Order: sequence, then C-alpha cells, then structure tokens
Amino acid sequence: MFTFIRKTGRAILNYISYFGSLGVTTIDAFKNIFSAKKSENIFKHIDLIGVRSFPLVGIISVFIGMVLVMETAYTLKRFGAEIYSGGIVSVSMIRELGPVFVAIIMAGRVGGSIAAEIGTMKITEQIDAMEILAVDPVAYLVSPRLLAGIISLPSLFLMSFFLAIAGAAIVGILLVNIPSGMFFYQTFRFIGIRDMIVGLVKSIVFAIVVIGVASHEGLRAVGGASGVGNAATTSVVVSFFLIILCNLILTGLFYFV
Amino acid sequence: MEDIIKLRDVSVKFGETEVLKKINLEVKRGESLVVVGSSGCGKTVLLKTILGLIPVAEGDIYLFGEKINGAPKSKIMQLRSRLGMVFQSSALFDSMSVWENVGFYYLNHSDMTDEQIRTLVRDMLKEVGMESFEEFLPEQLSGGMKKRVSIARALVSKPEVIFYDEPTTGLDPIMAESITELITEMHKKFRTTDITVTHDIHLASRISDRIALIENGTIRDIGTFDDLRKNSQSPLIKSFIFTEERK
Repeated sequence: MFTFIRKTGRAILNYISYFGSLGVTTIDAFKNIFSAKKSENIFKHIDLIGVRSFPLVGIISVFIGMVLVMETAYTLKRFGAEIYSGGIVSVSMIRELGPVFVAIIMAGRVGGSIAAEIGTMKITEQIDAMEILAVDPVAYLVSPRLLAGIISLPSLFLMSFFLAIAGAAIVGILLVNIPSGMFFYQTFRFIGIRDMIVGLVKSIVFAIVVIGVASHEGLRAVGGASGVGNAATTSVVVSFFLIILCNLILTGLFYFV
Repeated sequence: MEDIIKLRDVSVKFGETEVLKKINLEVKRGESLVVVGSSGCGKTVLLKTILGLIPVAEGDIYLFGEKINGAPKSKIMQLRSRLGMVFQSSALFDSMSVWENVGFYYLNHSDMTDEQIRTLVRDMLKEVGMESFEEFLPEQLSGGMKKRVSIARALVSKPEVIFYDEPTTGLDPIMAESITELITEMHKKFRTTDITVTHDIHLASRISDRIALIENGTIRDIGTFDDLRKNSQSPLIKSFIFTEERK
C-alpha cells in the first residue's frame, strides 16, 4: 500500500515537474520572440512550418469538406434538408475541425521534426556549445519557431477552411445537386465573425502547444539515437493530448461561459 | 597570480550516485591545467560543472572571483563570454558553414557586418590552418579538421580561459600530434588559461603546467608532471611511465 502511494505520488510530481518546465520553456521563448537578431530565421521557419505544410493541409482539407457533405447530405436527405449540409461543414470546420485537424497535422509533420532536430543538437553537444558561446538556446532555437508557428497555423487554418468549403461545394453542387446559390447561402448563413475569431484564437493556442512541446522535448532529449526518437514520439503524443484538452477548455470558455 | 577558477568542496550527484566528491581546485591565470583520469571517472562532469552546464549538489564554484552556482542566468551568460570550449565531439553546428560556426559568437553578440565578421573568422581560420574551408559544412570535414574549426570557434572571441574536452580522442596519432602542437601554440600566442580534460597522458605531459589526477570522483594527486611521475601511485601514471620507458 505504502509503495503504491509512493509511486503514485512520484508520478504526480513528475507530471507537475514536466508541465512546469514546459511552461517555463514556452514563457522564456515568448520573452525573446521579437528579438531583432532572429528576424532572418523567422522566414526560414515560416517556410518550413507553414508554406511546406500547405499542400498536405490543402489536399486533406478538400477531402474533409467532400466527406462531410457526403455524410451530412446522406442523412439530411431523409428529412429533405440536404441544402443545410454546407452549413454543417462551415460551422464544424470553423469552430472545431479546422483548428484541431490543422494542429494535429502540424504536431505530426512539424512537431516531430522540431523535436528530432533540437534533440539531435542536444545529444551532439551543440546546445551546450551554444550556451558556452553565451547564446540562450531557447531564444535562438525556440523563439523564432514559436513566432513562425503563431503566424503559420492561423494562416493554414484560414486556407484549410476555404478549401474545405471548396471541396464541400464540389460534392454538394455536382453530386448532391444543391443549387450553387443556395449551397453558398446556407454555407455562410450560420457562421459569423465571432466563429472566425474563435477558430483563429484556437489556432494560435495550438501553435504555442505544438512548438512549445516539440522544442521542450528536443531540449530534454538524452542518450543517443533512441533519445532523439523518444523525443519525437513523446512530442507528438503530448501535443495531441494538449490540443484536445485545450480545445475542450477553449470551446467551454467561448460558448458556455 | 590570481585564481581565475576556484572550486570549494564541490560535489555533483546524478540521482543517488555521487559523481564528484568534495572537489577542491584552484587554477591560476595563464596556467595550463590538465585533468587526467580513466574513462567514467568524472573528468568531463568536472569541466561541465565549472562551466555551469551541470548543477552542483554541494560546494561553491568561483569564476573570475564570482560565485556561479546559484547566480542568475544573465550573470552566467556574461561570464561565459569570457570562456571558450572545445568539445570532445567538436559540437559544430551542423546546419552552418565553417565561417558561420567560427563567427557564431560575433553574429549573435556584436553589431559588426557580416564582412567584418568574415575578416575576423578568416584570420582565425588561418591560425588553425583551415583558411580554405570557410564555406564547407561540418559534414564535409574530417575529425581533425572539425577539431581545428572547433578550436578556432573557441578562440575567436579572445576568451581568457579555454576548456578542452578530450581534444585528441578519436584522432589518428599524426592528427593527435598536430592538435597537441596547435593547443600548445595557441596557449602561448593568446596567453589563455587552459583547462584540458584527457585520458591521454602523453598529451598531458606535453601541454600541462600542472596535472590533476581524478579517480572515483575525487582528485587523487595534483602537481607537475615530474611530481606525479616520481610520487604518484596511480596505475594510469605508472602504465604511462612503463610505456615511455619501453620506447
């Protein structure tokens, strides 16, 4: 019994310590986010995080829009309400699916890569070398990535939203035979500027989660190649968990408080 | 001569294991101290502890007369700008060219133009015999070349103290000899205080003013090479003397 309590207590303390150090790393990165010396790095990271993710996010968004219309139109047809399928796509994409799915793609594509890159630098003593050269690794490596993420994720979310609508329109107009004017009217009828702001705020929070977790995992990598692999895997798993948790909290805050 | 580095009863623990036990050490300005010991005895931990990369469990460390354990990050960063280090793995930034690696300090701490930094870097690369490799990436260099670039990176900011972590490990005998000569030459030319960690007694005998022998996390002997040669009971020193006598 005593061993069980001790182990549970230790696990809880480890979690508190982990999330505490994650918070410290992210706050430190924020403090240096607008440092002038990093400006040239920002564009490189926006390219890596945002621009190069666009084809994948774009194609998946179109497919998600298509599938959502197929599913909703199939069910709504029974009630003669298939014209509302576009509205369901827009509401779900702008408030929930859009920000969450873009963040999850980013956690897998970019988060894993950042954790592996910084983790490799850690185990090959490049992070130590940076510290000895009086350069703060968090300011140098994490801050520009964080700023690039905060710029890239909301941009990808907006593009993802409109591409999902485009995918939905292709299926809704050509396959379900909803008149185009009616489809677009119903699509944009149920959403407002508040929904767009909610989606953008969620994207910014998810960007902080994905980049913060990935960088933190990279910076605490230990051992050899397996340490780097663990950092990348843990980064993706923890990001997924925190994205879903933050989404729950933000949805509650925006629509129920 | 002032003590540039001072350790008072420094202990370091990894979990429950005590890696360094009550270490006391002083290094004087301009001195070349070599820390020797077999693999896993705590040499590199000692070096990284002095640099503030590993926290101390007990005791105090003074750099340039200022206590660094418990000091704010900004203070430690400020003191580190007076230090240089050559890592065992060279630790060159693999996404940057040779000139960016060597100029990294100035690229981040000065308002100099890239051209001005390049001039400084070229001069330093010339000192270490790497002037024609400015645009190369670390992956295109051999182990010995990386070590030279690493030495250039450590020296370019004109530090007062240089730390060498196993500078000849993994190099062939000819390259190891040439790195040993380079370290001696740079020490004389830039009048730095050098602290070298190695298990290579031959290197220690060539570059040291004093040698500290570490065993099981404590300093077992300290003195000049001749002192240790005469008095030390350490198997490491004895095996070296034996090898030398056979030559």
